[in-house]
Amino acid sequence: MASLSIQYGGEPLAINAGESLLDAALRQDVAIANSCRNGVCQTCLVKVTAGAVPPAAQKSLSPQQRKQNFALACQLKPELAIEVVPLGAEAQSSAEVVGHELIAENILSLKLKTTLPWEAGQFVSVWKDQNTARPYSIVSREEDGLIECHVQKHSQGKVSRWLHDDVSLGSVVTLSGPSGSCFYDASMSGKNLLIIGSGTGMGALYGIAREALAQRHQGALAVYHGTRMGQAPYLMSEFTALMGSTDQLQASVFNYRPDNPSDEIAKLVKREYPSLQNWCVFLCGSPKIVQSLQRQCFLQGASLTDIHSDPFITRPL
Amino acid sequence: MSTLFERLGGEGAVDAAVDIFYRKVLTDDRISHFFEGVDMAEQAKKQKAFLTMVFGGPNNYSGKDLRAGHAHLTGLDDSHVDAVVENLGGTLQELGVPESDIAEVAAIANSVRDDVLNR
Repeated sequence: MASLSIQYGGEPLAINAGESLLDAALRQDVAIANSCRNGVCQTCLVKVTAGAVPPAAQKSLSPQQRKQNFALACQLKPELAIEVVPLGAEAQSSAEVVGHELIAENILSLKLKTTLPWEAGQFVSVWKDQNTARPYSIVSREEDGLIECHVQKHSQGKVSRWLHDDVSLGSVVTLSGPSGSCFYDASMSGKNLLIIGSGTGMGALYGIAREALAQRHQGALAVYHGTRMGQAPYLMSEFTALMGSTDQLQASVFNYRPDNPSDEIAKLVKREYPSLQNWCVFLCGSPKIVQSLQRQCFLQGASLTDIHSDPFITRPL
Repeated sequence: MSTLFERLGGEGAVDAAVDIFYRKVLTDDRISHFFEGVDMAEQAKKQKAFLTMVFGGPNNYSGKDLRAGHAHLTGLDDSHVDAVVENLGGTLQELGVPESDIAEVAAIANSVRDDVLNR
């Protein structure tokens, strides 16, 4: 197979035809921080300093990021000998931990003080060290003054275990982002919102629902909160309180089985919402639920541009 | 003399067509199984790139991309490409596009048939 030599961080790096910069680097033991490997989380952001940037490597970036020749290493498949450097301090900032509290079994509420702008439902990457970062959805609204993320502890999770066990009040952590397009926008005001999620995905959806109400959303909000059979629904009391404050919002719980998580909710949506034309849909949580509901809602009339979802696919480590 | 892409309405036409076209594809029993388990958001981007190409618009599609993108689909044959072209025609009819322009779009779609089918 033909291979191409490019410059990464001032050193030559061989890339096979069709291979991404990230895959080539990892294959040759060159560290590039990464997380989703799907062109979404921006953990593997790099900068092209010489040569043309393939458009596919910039597809999900903002116009500002494109202008600066940023690219995603996992989507960068060079065809010419370009020069690329890792992105260091310029894309990162630091934030003080001002809240660190367990709010449910294995779920940490992490509050960060920062001057960055954000929208509830976007995500921020938290860096454990220069090679390890994970994206977390933002639960809080910008008006709340602090970025709040809900971090589920995974038994193998390098970053989640560190955030739970080693980080504490007063710690300073490194962030990049916020980014992502799963958030409420004033243009949605006249539409009804269908909000479906599970697990910590409900955190982002809670923030989105609060933002919609704060912006005097005109349509209805129908919230479906997925909970694994036998587990207590996390954040349900917050949704109940929200429901008490307005007639617009209806929240209900659905149970799911781990082996077929989307079955019941897909049937419910099919039955209760025969036409989703002109609705906005928000989906966060279990990838199986998100993917299955994206399709279900689209087939029932929701436009592709009106389906917003948490983009993270959990990858085996 | 306006181009096909201009007559169809440019990027706005692609946005209008993508929902209709992709919904037809996903509900067409002849081809929907090729789209089982794919990421919708990713597919939507690909469908838009495809529509831009067949509408005669600016695109970055190459024969190589089309071959690589379809190589993993076992059992893909002419009947499936026919179904896609048919859904494309149905979409444009719904949008009120004249038959002569639909024929031009179908011709562009047919011109990449060999790349899609890897032959």
